[in-house]
Amino acid sequence: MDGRAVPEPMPPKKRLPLLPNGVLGMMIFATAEVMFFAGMMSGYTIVKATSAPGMWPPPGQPRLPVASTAFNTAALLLSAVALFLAHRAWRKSPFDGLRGGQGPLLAAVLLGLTFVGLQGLEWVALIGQGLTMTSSPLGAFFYLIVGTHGLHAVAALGALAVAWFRLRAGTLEPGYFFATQTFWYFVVGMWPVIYARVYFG
Amino acid sequence: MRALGALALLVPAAALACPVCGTIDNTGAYQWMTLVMSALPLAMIFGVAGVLVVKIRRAEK
Repeated sequence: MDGRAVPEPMPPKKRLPLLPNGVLGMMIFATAEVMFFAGMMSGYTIVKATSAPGMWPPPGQPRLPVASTAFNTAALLLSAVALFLAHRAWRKSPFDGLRGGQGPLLAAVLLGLTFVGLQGLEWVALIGQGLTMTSSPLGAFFYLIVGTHGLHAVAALGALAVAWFRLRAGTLEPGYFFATQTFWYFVVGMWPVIYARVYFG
Repeated sequence: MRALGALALLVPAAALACPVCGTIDNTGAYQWMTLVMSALPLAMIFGVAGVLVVKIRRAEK
């Protein structure tokens, strides 16, 4: 020994994940779901293109309510904006136990509920006018595509509501919040495509 | 089976297997949807990969 101090071995540098696991998982899930919706809309497009001229929408079937659904669409898009604001407020509140953004997050949930609720009312009206799953190919595709999207919206809203309760309690984990946001942005991003294709197509 | 095959040659319209391939020309719809369904997964995979590449580059700076 020459008397010099032996340097302590450096502790391994902690590597942070590029993306939280929940977000990566949700992105993979959303990718699969985009293909699921693309498959349904592909089938819809082919069936529609196969119908005789002037036979789409099928005779005797109600027209889809484009105007009232535009209002629903606006509510859904606004909910995404509210969620974005909630995320920003949440990130800027480190000294508040990360409880910021409760108001915008609640607004996002309520706007999402407005979308789902109005869609439900629209369905009741359409069923009353004779558009059902078995009345025509339009009805079958409409309820399949829009209904599947609605199921996703309900599931994502449940996750957002849980996020809001956890945010209030100060127990919201970033990974959960980011994954839930990814899910909701997928639901919101999918809708304009469905709206344009099914309601206007 | 051979008799069925011969029948299909005689009456091809009755042997049409595709339920949506009628007399209406829907070639364009098929071509567009084939293109969309082929390109969409690639676009999404490259999109996710792009996000990861950007994040890696930012983390390395």
